[in-house]
Amino acid sequence: MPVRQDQVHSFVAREELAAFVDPVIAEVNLVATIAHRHHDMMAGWGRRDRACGMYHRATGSGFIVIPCRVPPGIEEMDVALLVWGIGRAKLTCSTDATGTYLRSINRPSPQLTEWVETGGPIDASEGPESGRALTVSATTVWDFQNIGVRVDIDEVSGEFGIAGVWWRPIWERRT
Amino acid sequence: MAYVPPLTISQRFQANDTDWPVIIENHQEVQFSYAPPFIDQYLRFNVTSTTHAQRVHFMARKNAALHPIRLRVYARATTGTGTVRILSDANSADVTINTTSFAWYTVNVTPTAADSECAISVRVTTGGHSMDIGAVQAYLTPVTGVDVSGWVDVKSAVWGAANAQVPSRVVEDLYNGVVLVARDRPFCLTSRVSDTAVAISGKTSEAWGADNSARWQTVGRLAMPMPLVGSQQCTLDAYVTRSGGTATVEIGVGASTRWQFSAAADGWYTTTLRVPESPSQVYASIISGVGNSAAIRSFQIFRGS
Repeated sequence: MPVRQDQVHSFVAREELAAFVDPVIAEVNLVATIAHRHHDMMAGWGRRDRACGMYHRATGSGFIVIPCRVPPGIEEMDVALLVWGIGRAKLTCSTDATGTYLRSINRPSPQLTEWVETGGPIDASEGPESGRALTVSATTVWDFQNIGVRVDIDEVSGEFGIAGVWWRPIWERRT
Repeated sequence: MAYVPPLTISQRFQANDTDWPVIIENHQEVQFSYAPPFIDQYLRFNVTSTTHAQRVHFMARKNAALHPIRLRVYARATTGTGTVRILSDANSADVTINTTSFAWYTVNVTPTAADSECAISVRVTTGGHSMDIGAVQAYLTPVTGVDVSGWVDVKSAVWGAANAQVPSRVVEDLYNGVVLVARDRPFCLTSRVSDTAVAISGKTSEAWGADNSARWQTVGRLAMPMPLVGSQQCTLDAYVTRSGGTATVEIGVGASTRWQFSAAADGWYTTTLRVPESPSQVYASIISGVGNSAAIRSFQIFRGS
């Protein structure tokens, strides 16, 4: 539950009186408020930040590693696609920190003649056949982490790019 | 040290001497680990020259505390060994690449200015050696000591002790610390770097370049993160190389925000502008001029001006 502004003020006042009145009440407010403030900051990074990996390939298969630095508490990541030209590929994502198998997607770009954003911060419920993005299920780690999102590429035709990795913190859905 | 989630404490009626030290530890962890990247990107190129060459350029901005800049590079040396050097203005530091399989390597350099022009330079040790770069990432590694942001180190051993009498000043330090860190740390909203050794021939989205064009050529696009707070003032940096004459470059952010400039020399070009509330894409266009070529090798958008 977000901290209300009046609670923020009241906790300071209570803390100042803590030594004389009620240290238990003061400390409860204090810890809860600061904890929420910490998490709000992390959530801000998680919702705003992105890593960017641009990639172009005419033919052939392979994989790329997109480096990411994520704040604590990330449980999902979205790998967004930008498609250039007429492209078609099958992609599979995983994170090298957890090795978690993610999701493969086919036909992300049927017939495109210009950069088109087919990904973005998307609703994973659209399913793997939506042609929009991949959602990485990462093991939640309560620490700042450097990870790499590995994208395996198969069944390629045309030329396409991958741009954008978004993530969302676990508490975003709890609060 | 790790960030620990005291998510349950608001459900409880007292914060005991296990919760309170956690808050203090988190306060420190935020200070020393909160470092959004300047660049983070898949970037593949091969190195066979024994002479150092600057292949990738990026800006490190708003680092008033002059925290060290850390470069992480995903690399391998298929034959022999190689060196990756990070340069920050006049300072530099090296790391040796010596694994035949791709691995992450890190190296730190200390900048001398809050806004620092950085570059990644590479070479192999001996002729016939070969090194591959697979990805690059750069961010700050804050150090201990008094911070210019105003962040204060709250000692866990003192104020986290059981039954410690915690004064208001310490409470305020803990309460304000994360905000001071957030204000102090540079936040690069989006970035894109490329290998400056890639020759420009025709229109190329790999290098964001074009040649022999008298009209606008859209050479690249980039996605933007979702803003939380409406429009915001941002600093835009573009590293441009060209040959044969002055190029005209335009960066668009969203549907209505434009930055247009003439690039008469190779190097960094910078501006500040207000990024609209919901930009979904950044696009880059170039008029290289007939017989000329030009490319936007690096591009970054920092929050703030």
